[in-house]
Amino acid sequence: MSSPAQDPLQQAIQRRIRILVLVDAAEQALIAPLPAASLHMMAYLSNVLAPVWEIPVLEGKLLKKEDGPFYPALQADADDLIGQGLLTFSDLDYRLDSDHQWRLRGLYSLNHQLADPVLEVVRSFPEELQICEFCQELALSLSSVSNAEIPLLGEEDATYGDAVTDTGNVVDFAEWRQTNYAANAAHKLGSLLRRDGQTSPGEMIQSYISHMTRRLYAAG
Amino acid sequence: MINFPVLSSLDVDDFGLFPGTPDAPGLHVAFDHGLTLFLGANGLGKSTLMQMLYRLMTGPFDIPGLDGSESLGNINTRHTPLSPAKRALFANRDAKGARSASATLKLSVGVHKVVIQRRLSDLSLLDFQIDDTRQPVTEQHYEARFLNLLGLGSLGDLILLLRHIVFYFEERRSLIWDPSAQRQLLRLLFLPPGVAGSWLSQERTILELDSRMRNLRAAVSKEEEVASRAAATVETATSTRTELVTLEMLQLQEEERRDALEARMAELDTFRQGLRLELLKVEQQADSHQREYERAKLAVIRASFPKSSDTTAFLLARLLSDRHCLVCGHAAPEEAVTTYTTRAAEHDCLICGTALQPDSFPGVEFAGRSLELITSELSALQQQQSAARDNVAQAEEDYLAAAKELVHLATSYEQRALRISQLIKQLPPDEHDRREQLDGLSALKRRVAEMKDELTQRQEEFSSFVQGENRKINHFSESIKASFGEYASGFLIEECELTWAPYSARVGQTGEAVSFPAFGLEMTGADFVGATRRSSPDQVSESQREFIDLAFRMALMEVSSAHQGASSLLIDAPESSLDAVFSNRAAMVLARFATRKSANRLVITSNLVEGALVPDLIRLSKADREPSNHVVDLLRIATPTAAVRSHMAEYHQVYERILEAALDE
Repeated sequence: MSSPAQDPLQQAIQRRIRILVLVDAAEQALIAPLPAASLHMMAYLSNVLAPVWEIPVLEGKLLKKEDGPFYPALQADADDLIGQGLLTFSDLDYRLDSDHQWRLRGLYSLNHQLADPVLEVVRSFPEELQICEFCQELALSLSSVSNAEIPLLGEEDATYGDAVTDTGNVVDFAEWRQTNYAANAAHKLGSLLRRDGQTSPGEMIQSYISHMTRRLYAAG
Repeated sequence: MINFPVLSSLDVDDFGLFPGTPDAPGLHVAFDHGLTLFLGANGLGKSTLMQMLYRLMTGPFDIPGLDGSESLGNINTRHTPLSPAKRALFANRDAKGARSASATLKLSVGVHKVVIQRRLSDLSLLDFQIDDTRQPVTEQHYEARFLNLLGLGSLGDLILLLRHIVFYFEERRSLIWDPSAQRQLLRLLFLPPGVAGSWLSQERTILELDSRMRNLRAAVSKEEEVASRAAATVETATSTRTELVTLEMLQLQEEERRDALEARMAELDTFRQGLRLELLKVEQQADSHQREYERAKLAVIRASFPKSSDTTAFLLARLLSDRHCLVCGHAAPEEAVTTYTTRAAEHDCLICGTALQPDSFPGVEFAGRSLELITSELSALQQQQSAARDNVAQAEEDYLAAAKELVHLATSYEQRALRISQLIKQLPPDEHDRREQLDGLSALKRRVAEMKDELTQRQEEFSSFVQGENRKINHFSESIKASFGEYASGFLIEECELTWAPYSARVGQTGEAVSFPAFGLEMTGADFVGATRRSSPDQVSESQREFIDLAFRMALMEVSSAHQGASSLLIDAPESSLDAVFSNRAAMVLARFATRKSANRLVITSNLVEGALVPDLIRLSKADREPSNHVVDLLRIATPTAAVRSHMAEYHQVYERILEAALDE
């Protein structure tokens, strides 16, 4: 796994590409327009499950919140993408979360006229194409869950939901610590699928997401 | 889960400090449910009483170094006999050396009734009963049976429990800010005695092995240095030998440097993690304030520009809130911002300036917070964010520099070891053999290496064991946090909550750090927007410090008590660190503990001081008893000091005023 780029501008560009790719994947999986909270959850899953697809982790840590993953920098990038006309935004609203902090609510869609050429260029690079395929698999796996429930999956995720990391503390799986229970669980579930151990990364992602979903429904 | 001792009564007989009255000689106190308050002037034996209650249970044993306020660290928690001076604590308060004095403590432990009687001159056991059955009067038997009833594995654990949870002495350790003490308490409170004992035994084995390995390594190094120097002076100097001696000395220096660097890296890692946490929190807060401000502006825009699309409205809200143009990415010119702001204020269309007649306009107050306040907090947060980023970058740089140096050291050490080995081979055969003999240390060096391997293996096993037990202890964390919240909320004005925050520490001075269970504290404050981690007692006021720690102890007691049973809390002089504003709140928190469970016992000693704490405490804890029945009057029972004798009337007046105040609503 290579580490994320350290240059802030390059990091911002990578995050913006990730947002476009995730919203595009969500549209193809018919779960768009994508609520802001779901975008953050998908961004988190694309980080924590990146090792399953053997792609670089974009952000290896985040602050654990009661309402699920939230990346302030990613939110600022989404704002900029709206300004640049690549994303459109509807149902704009602001809500207080459980920590009494204000969060933007709304639904993201791609403005295909401007976003498609960018995505086309992105897909022309083999590494980025891999990321697109990974996000596509992630979105398809999540399509069995309603948009309202996607942000709740954090509780069921082996890394984010680990009780040993309390809310208000850092969930670190790829920055200064290399303990990623979610990726381990996805590998383990994948190995149980086939006796020959030839499970594809896509199958691992699918089985892990459906495992989380079952847990979510079981928890009521 | 353990059974806490619930005090029933104390009888002190023939002790010179407490002669009592002609009708009732000695000191006899029944600890009914709720509050029992020992009131008296300086020198009347309040602290001695606390010590007596403590020593009746611990017997003539203690853990050396436990009575300080500094961090517990890797202290050996095995109990040892009290020094003669400490054993004579009560004898020194009696002109006759307390030769015939005794104290009897009756208490409940779970469903069992226990009687402990000790001679005050030397703390020897005189009587020990369980459920009215007399037990063999030996310390060994007492220890085994009493610990079994409590659910503890060792006398050391009983001493830790009493000193850090049950008794709140004037000289005390702040449990909430001492993760090394927390790790011992969480271990003994929430793990079965066998597992808690195994934890302790593994920890001790590692500490002893670490100490032995370091001592042996230091001795070998010293001998090696001496031998090298001797060889260099005795033999004819050659360039090979000179280089050899120099390199060997450098190797020794680098070993020391490596140990120091490993310790520094552990510190730097903890430090950078704390800073990173702060940065992430500030980023969240800053985003929240940004959105709050946008929301406020958006409300104005929506009212003046009702047909705008969400995207357009959002773009304008952002432009007006932080002057950032999301379309081009530049800071908006003053002129544009002024134009839009004026149009919004005059209810004109923001884009074309057409005068609109909206139905209504929202005010500029949002949930009681003005836009000016939100702006000023946002600005403060942006500064905090910038400073936090710099701090994390600097801490990361320091950590990486130390890591780089460590790698460099390891490489140079390996290369030098290779060169030393080559140089030894280059020595003439007889000198080579003599050198080996002169050293005579190769076997010892191998032993050091074996010990280090064994230590690494044990540390890995212990780390894995603690990781598993951490999860078991963590199951109680939500209950502890909730209970702490209930106690702390009564005392603190600021928002304050516990957070489960395992901490990494090395057992001994070498090897990898182990992640131990611990709680941290988050609190809002005047200097920061939002709650921040308070990792040191210096980050809160003295009043806050005392009661945060007390609330933490109460929470631990409540959750760890088997079957939600009752417990006792004994506090020596709580008024000493409180200012007037906090005294009523303190009384409420203490009374909450006293009345929370019908069998809880709260024992407090206090000076005869004016102020609201003592009367409030009596009033709030009174339950079904008369105020005077809560109070033990040491003016009447204890031998008066010279000051008390000469001002007896005044002291009595203060005492009466306190009781009268307690009767006032």
